[in-house]
Amino acid sequence: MIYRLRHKTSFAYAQPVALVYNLLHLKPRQLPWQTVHASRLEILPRPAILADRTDYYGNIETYCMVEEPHSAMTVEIDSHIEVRERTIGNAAAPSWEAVRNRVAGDLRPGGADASQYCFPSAAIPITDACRAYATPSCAPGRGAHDVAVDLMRRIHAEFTFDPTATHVATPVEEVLEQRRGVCQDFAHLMIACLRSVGLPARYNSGYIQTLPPPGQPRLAGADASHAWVGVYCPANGWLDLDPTNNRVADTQFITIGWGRDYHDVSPMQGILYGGGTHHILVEVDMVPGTLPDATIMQQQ
Amino acid sequence: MAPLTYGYQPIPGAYTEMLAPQGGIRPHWQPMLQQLESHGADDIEGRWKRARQTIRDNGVTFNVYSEASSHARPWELDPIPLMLSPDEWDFIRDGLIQRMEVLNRLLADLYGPQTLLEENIIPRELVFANRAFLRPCHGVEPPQGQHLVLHAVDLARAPDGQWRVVKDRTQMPAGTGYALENRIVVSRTFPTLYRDCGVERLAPFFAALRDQFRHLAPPAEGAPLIVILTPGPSSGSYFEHAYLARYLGFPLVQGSDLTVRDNLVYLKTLSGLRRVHAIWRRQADVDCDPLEFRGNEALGVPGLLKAAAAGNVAIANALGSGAAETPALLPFFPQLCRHLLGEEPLMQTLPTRWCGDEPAMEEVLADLDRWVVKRALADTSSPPVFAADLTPAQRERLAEAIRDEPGRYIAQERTLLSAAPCWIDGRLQPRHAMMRAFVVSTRDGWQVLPGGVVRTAASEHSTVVSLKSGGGTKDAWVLARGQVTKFSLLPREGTTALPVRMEENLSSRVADNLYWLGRYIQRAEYQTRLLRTIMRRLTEETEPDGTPELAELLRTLSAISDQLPDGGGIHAPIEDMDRTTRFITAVVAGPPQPGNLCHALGQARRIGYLVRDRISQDTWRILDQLHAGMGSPLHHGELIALLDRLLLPLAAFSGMAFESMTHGFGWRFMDLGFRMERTVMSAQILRELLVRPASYETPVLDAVLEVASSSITYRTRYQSQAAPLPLLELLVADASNPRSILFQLDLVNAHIRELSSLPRLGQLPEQILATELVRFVERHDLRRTLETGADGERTRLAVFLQEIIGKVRELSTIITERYLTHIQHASHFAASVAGPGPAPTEHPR
Repeated sequence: MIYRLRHKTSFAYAQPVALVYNLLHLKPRQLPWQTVHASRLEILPRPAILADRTDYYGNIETYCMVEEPHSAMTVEIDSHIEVRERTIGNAAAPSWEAVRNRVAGDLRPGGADASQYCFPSAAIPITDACRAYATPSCAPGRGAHDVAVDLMRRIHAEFTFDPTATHVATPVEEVLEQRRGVCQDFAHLMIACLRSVGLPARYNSGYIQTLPPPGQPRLAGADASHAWVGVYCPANGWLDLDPTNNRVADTQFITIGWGRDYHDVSPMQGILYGGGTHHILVEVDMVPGTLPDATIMQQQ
Repeated sequence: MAPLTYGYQPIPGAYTEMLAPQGGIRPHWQPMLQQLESHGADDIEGRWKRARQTIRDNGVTFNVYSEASSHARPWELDPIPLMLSPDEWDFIRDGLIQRMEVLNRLLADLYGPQTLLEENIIPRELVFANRAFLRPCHGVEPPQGQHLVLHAVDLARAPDGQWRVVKDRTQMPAGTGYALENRIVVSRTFPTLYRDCGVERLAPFFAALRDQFRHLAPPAEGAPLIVILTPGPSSGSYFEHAYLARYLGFPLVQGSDLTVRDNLVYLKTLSGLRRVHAIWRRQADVDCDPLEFRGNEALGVPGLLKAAAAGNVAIANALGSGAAETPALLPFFPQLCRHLLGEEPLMQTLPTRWCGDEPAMEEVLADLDRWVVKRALADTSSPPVFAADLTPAQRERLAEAIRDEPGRYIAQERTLLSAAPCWIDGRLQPRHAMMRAFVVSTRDGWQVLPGGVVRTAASEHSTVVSLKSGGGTKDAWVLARGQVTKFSLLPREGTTALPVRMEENLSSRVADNLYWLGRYIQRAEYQTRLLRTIMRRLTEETEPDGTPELAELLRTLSAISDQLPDGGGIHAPIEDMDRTTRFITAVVAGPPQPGNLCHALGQARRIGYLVRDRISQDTWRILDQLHAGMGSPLHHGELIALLDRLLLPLAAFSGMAFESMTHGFGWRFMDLGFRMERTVMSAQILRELLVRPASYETPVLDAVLEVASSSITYRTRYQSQAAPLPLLELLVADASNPRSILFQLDLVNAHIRELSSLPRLGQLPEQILATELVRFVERHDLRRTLETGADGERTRLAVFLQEIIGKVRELSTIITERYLTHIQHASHFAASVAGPGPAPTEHPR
C-alpha cells in the first residue's frame, strides 16, 4: 500500500511568542515493512534551527527553534509512505511466564532493548488496579501473544471511545476507573497491564487509515494521529496490537516511531516564552496514493 | 596543666582516630596535639569563640531544608582537624581515583554502546527503571570523554581501621566550598599550628579544577567564559555556590540568565549576549533542560543539551551523570572495576545488598537489624532506615515493603563509625565521624583534594552523622611527605574589588537585584531617621510646651511606610502613648508589609543573599547585622537602642559599597537605586511636612532637618532658627549638600550617561529625562513655591514635589524596561513577564 500523508498543526496565540524550542516526532521511520519515499517538513515562521537526529529508540527526532516573535505557527509534514505486510513468527510461542522470567536476562540481540519496556515510565505507573485488570487474561501457561490479544479484545469490548472523557495528560488509573478514553489512553492502559505481569510493552505513535461511512464522501483533514501497543516475546519479536480497534496492525497502519509511553514520542513537545492562551488546529489526511513524482523526491 | 588528651575516653568498639589501641597517641596526631597543648585550653577556647563569630558573620550556612534563608542554619565547625598520615592518604587517593575512573567508564558505556547491559554485567533494572538514566543524553559525548570532572565519595572508617565507601556523588557533588571555608577558618584561628604541622594545601586542587574547565571548554577568542549554574537560594548549598564563584572568579548564574541560540549558550548581560564556554552546574540533571527532561521549567535552559551535544559548551558533570551515583550500583562495583578496568577494587565498599537480587534479599531479611535500608534508585529521597532502631511492628512493615518491591531497596551494613576528637565544653571529646573526599580530573590524570569535609555526630552516643540532626563538621589535615607547596587563589584580605571580567558579565538579573538593594537600603535609612526623630521627641522633654510636631511626624511615618496605626490617625501621641508605641513597633519590627522598615530590611538582606558573589564579605556582614534582632516585640527603650544600632550599619553600607566596589555597571545600578529612592523619600517628607504650614512651624522644620541629617549644616550656614526658604534651598537645590535632591539627581544623571555608553545605545529617552529633571530643579523658583493659597496650603510646593516624584518613577520604569526586564520571570516589579511554559501538545486519538 502506498499512502500520501499530510499532517498539519496550526497554533494561534493570544499574545506573541518570543521564542520557542520544539522537539518533533513527525517523520515516519524506515522499517522492514515500511519505506518512506519522501518526507517534507515545513514550519512557519521559518525556524532558526531545524535538525534531525535519531533518538534513543531509533525514531527520527526533529529539533526546531523559532527565534522570530510570532502569534501563529504552522507545522506541516507531507510524506509518501509504502507499507507492506509484516511477517510475524508465531511458531511455538512461549508462555507469558516464560517471557516474564527470561526477558531481564535475555542475551539475544534485541533482548536488552526489549527489557527496558518492562518497567514503569513517566506516564505509565504500574499499579495494583492494572494488575487486577490484567489477571483474567493471564491463565497459567497461556502464550504471551495470546495474553496480549485477549487483553486487547477485553479493552475494546469493555471501554468506550469518548474524546470528551480524557485529555492528553489523563492518568491511566482514571481511564481504568471511568472505562472511557481515546487511543492514547487505551494504549497506555494496555501497556500498564502487560508490564504489571512482567511483559515488555511499548507505545507506538502513527496513523491509521479511516474509511468514510458507506455512501458518504471522505472528509478532508478528518483523520487523526493514532497510538497502539507493541508487545515483545523473545522468539517472535514485536507484535503490534491496536486496542482501540481490536486488530493486529497491518498495512493500514503507518508508524512514526515508538517509546515507553506518549512522552517519548509525542508529535510535538516544547518550551515557549510568551503566548498566553492558545488554540490548536490539527488536520490529518491519510489517503492511498502513488509514488511521488521526481520533483518531490529531489526536495527530500 | 593537664594534657589535652587527659581523660579522653575512646568509644568502645569504634576505631579511635587519635589514640593507638595500646593507649598512646598515634604518631601523625602528635605534632598537632603538642602544638595545641602549648596554647592551653583557655587560649584555644578564646580563639575558637572568635572563629565561630567569624563564621556567623560571614554567613556560612547550610540550608538543610532547602528553604530560603529562614531555616538556614549556621555552619557548625569544630577546630580540631582530623589528622591523616601520608600513607593513609595515599591509600584513599588511589582508591578515589580508581573509583572515579570506573564510574566515568560506566557512564561512557551506559550513554554509549551499553555492553554492560547487553552482557548483563549489571542488572538492567538498575538502569532502565532508573529515572537518573536520561535517555536524551545517550550518544552525547562530553568533551574529552569526561562525564565526571568532579567526583565525591562519602567514606566511613570501620572498626578494623579500613576506610570504606558509603556513597558516590556524581551528579553535582557538594562540599568543596565548605572544605575550603573550614580550612580558612581553622588555619586563621591557629596560624602557627597550621604552618608548623606541614599540612597539604587545598589551593592546588582548585587551580586544577579551574584549569580543567578551561581545558574542556571549546575554543574561545580570548579567555573562555566559565559560569557556575545554581538553582539559587532554594538550594541547600547556595552559600557554597556563591563562595566558589567568588573564589574562582566564575560568574554565578541562574537558568534564566542563560539562553541558547543557534546551539550556542549565552549569558544575558547588560551589554548583550556573551558566549558561555563552560558550565559548572550545581543543579540536578533533570532541572537543567526543560526541553529534554521533565524537571523544573523555571530553573532550566531549553536547548542546553543540544548545545552540549554539538560540542559548543562543556558541562560538568555531564548531564545524565546522576546515573552513576545510583545506590543499587554499589554492590556491583567490584564487577564493574574488573570488567571496565581489569583491576581489583583498591578500596572496599561498605557491605551493600541490592534486594532485587533474591538471595541478597533473603540474606537481608534473615537478619534485618544488621542493616540500614535505603532506596535503591535515585528517584526518591527518603532518609535511611536503621532497622535495629525500629519497633517490631515497624520492622515487620519494612520487611513487607521490601518483599513487595525488592528492586527498590538496598541494605547497607550498619557499621560503628570511627571516633574523632572534638573540642566540646573546653576539652577533647570523641564523636563518630565520616568524611567526604573529592577528586577532579585533569588534563593528564586526576587530582585529589588533600582533605575534605568531615562530618561528626551530635552527641557521644549518637551513631548517626548528619547535619540535619545537629551534627557538626571538621577540617581534615593530610600531612605532607616533604615540603608543602605554598600557593593560594584567595584574594588578599580587604581586596574585594570585582575583576573587570566579572563586570562585563553582569547579568540583567544581578543588575536588577543591585538596583533594588540600593533602593531598599535607602528606604530603610530614611525611615530609621524619621523613627529616631519621633522617638526622641516621645522620650525627651525637649520643649516645655510639649512637642506639637509629633502628630505631624507620625502622619508622615504613616505615609512613607504605607502603614496606618490601628484605629486610624493618632492626634495626641503623648496621651495615646500605647497606640503610638504599638504603631512604631509594627513599622520597625513587623510583621513585614511592603513599605515598612521591617520589610525594607528583610528585602535588603534577601537580595543581598542573591548577589553574595558580587558584594564583599564585609558588606554582607553589614546586611546581616541589619536583620538581626528584627521580628521580636520590643519595649520602648529597646526601640531607641535598636534604631540607634541600625543607623550605623545603614550608613556603613553606603560607605562600604562606595569604597569597596569597583565603580562599574553593577555599582552604578546600586547607586542609581540608592539615589532615586533618596530623592523620592526627601520629596515625600517635604511634601508631608511643609505643604500645610502650621502656626508652630519651627519645631516641624527642625524635625525635617534632623530627618535629612542636615541640622548642623543648617546651623553653621544660617546661624538662625529654621525658616522655610533656607531649608528648601539647602534640602532641594543645593548641589553641594549630599542630602539635597539636586545632589541625587546630578548623580542619577551621571550614572545614566555612563550606562548609555553600553553598546548599541544612542541618545536615549532616560538621558533626556534625567537632564531635564536636573534643570527643572535647578531653575525652579523656590520662593514662589512657599506662597500659600486661600486655603492656607502651599499648592505650588506640592505640585513641584509631586512632579519630581513622578519623573523619578518614570525614570525607574524606563531603566527597568531597558536594562532589567530581559529576565523572563517574575521580578520585583508588579507586572511580571511570562516565564517559560510547556508548549501546547496534541492528543492522539
